[in-house]
Amino acid sequence: MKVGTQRKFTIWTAPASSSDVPALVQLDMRAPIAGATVAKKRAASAKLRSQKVLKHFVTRTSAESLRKLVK
Amino acid sequence: MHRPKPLRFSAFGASGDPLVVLEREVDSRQVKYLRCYLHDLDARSVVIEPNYFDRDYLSEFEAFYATSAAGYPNICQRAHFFRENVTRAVFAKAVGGEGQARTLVETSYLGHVVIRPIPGAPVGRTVLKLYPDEKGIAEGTPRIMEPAREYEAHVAGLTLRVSGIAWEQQDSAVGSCATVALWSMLHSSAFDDHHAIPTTAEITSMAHWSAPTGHRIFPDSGLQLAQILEVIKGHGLAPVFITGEEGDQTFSRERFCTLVASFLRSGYPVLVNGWLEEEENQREAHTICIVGFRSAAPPTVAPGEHVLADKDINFVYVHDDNLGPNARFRILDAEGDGTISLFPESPPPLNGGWPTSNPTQTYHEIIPTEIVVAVHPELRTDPLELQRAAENYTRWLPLALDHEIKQQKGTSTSGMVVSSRFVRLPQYIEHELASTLRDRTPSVLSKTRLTLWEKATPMSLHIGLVRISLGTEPMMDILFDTSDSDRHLRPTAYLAFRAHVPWLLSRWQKLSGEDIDLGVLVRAW
Repeated sequence: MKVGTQRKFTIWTAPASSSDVPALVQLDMRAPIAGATVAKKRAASAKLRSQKVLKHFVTRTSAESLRKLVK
Repeated sequence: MHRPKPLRFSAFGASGDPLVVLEREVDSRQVKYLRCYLHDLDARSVVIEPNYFDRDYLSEFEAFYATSAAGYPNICQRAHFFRENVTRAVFAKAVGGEGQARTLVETSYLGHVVIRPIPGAPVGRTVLKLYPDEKGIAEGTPRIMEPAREYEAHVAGLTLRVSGIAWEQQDSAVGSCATVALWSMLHSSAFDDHHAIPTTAEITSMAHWSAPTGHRIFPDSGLQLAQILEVIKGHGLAPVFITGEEGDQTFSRERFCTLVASFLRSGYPVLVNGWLEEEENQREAHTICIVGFRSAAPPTVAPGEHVLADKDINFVYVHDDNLGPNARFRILDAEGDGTISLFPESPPPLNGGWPTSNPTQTYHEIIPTEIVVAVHPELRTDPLELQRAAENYTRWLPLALDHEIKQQKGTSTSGMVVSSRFVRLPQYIEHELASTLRDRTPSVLSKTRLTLWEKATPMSLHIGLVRISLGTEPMMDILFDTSDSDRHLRPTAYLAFRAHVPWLLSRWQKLSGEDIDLGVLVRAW
């Protein structure tokens, strides 16, 4: 892992040989598709969990806030 | 009449240092803060311009002080601070073009402080360098100060440059804390090509023209939040106004941290309104401007899961007119109820003991209740909607990867991190892609850029960027048009940094039955 800084940009990046991705490169991209039932269940469960996260991202405004006086 | 006066030179902290003089004259939290801050920057000397016309002070003078019977002058002093010992002899050589002296003066420059001839609020426009960040960069937790811009100070033919965002002490005659926070916010580098930066007096005047409250303009009696939003519109920008989602409009850590970090990464400073907790049971409304944050270490994520980037940041850097520029505040859930407050917390002194008492040790906590951000008017997408889209369009990838690994009995890997922000399209293609793909062959960068330019639907100037990463390695960027209404927010294109991404997408859609449309595929591998 390393951090790259280019001009004002500071972003996460890593070399192609990063230890974070060995599992990805080992995958056989010609393997047959399998496990549809499990996949459907996991997708549904992840969608439910997402609803909890999304509740933090509801837009709210209030007329009372807009009238707040800051000195 | 004003008279010519010679430049003055002093050691930092000596009797000729104007901050030392000021501290003797007024018990000022801001002056103490600046002395401690500059001490930490290892300031050694100061050069004082005794005659300096400051644009902001002249505007304040025109609006208020010119007609006061007290006889205020219209001229300020400006103090320049240096990390090296800049004496008159060294300065004279530098001004004459002598290379070594010029380099010493220019490279050791730490910034400047304008000193107004107003006894009650002497500290005017101040731009100071940030603390060094080698340790943060080495540890993978760099300070993010995207809104910072470069300022130039011209002294006797020398151009002194410093990067930061301007700050000043509140002068209650012409502005409130909200005015100063707004003024700092409009200094952001994001608006460099957009507009002239207004003065504090202009901000106060515009607030009362565009959203009258019946109160007099000068002396200033404070601004309502609605007036702040009107001033932003009056300067050709668009205001984003977001309240906390918890009780009494306080913020959860997740909402506050991810939003603030997302805006700052996009180059937009964040104006935070909230309660300043003073004595017990005493609080008053206060506004500050957040100009940066310390990124957190990459989180540990369980296989198949994902988390939002930056939800665990611990520090923000704040311009507070009651305190000073770049003040570090810790984000804490002090009550243990899931809502956050900001607590001032300077790092320990960097160069021996501070020269005076550090006011951050006795300053109060701030409880955020609203955030206000000025963005470009062409950018119409609600940042909260972009975060929702990030969640909805990326959660399949860690699931699909974990599923395939399990099916193929491979080595388990971690979950993923999702981030969202806004970025100008040319900046994304020119800088961000170059940086992300710098370890690949040039042909990958070329192919990626040309595909985006030639195959993707024409995109808006400002795009919504959603990135999902495995550990620290970016897997995919999803690009959103931001010039349409939120109802139509959907991906324009997605950049896959590995061939596995479209492969996983195709298989996951077949396996789970989910229909996931990410727009045009750009092969960036």
